[in-house]
Amino acid sequence: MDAAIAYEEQIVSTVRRLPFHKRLEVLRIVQRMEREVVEEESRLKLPQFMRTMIAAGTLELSSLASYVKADSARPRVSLEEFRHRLREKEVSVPIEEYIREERGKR
Amino acid sequence: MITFLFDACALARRYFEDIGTANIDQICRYPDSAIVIPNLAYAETTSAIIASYNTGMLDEDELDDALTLLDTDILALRFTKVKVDDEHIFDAAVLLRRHKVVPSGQVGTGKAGIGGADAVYLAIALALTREARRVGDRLILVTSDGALYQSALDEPELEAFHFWTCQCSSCGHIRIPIKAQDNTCPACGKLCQPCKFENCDSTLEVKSVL
Repeated sequence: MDAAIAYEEQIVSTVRRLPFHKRLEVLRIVQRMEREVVEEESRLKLPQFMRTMIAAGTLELSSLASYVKADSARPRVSLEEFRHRLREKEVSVPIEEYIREERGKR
Repeated sequence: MITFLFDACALARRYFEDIGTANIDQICRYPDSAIVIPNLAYAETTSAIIASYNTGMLDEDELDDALTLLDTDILALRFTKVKVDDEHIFDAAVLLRRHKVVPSGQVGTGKAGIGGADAVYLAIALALTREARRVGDRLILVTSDGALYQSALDEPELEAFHFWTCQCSSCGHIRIPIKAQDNTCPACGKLCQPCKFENCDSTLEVKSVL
């Protein structure tokens, strides 16, 4: 919470120092960003308690998806086809063991 | 509404079938639920998929497909990605002091194996659970990591589901099996020899145990 207030003060003080037309530009950017965030959040299946936490600044959603390019995330096979291929190959990937190994090495 | 928090084991198990995949699939299809994935799980799962390739389990195409399927899930609105922040890291350190320290003379509590990443999942699960319970909601941490699961059980507020949990097809007894070993049902004596995906005939309906 405190960190959020400090950010807010910094932003306000920076924006106040800008010329008037630049301030309007910032306002338009903020309004656009707000619309995007509201739209994205409304599409998410978020429980109310998480929405409350986000509003209070005690939880932040990750913007990881914005780094993943939609084009590169277009799978050539479906999840079922992928699993089927490994089944055919009789490969059982001990994926959890790899995760545990990695955690053990930290 | 139930909120499920997946650790990397749960997320990764979506792509590679094994015991527990059926439970993960049921959770993903669970009605009126939310699935939350901390951003940390993306790096952990990517690393594990690459490790599968490096050890010859996957060929290049399969590596590419697995990573792409993971990216698809990251883009999917079905999975809510949350950010690991400083508060979670600090809480994780506090939890490590509580769970990882082995009191002198008492070795092998099962929780001593908890690591930094596990503790981060635990910290996020606790933070979300506290808010969820305040309004009468539920959050369930989903993992197959023994140390993380045991530590979660020791937190009175927290609910956890070990996704290897199975139900005996003969008598209906529910338990967490020991993978890759012969498992005898303690209720009816039915033998799973050994416990592995190909032999698994678990009839567990996840809904019945949550």
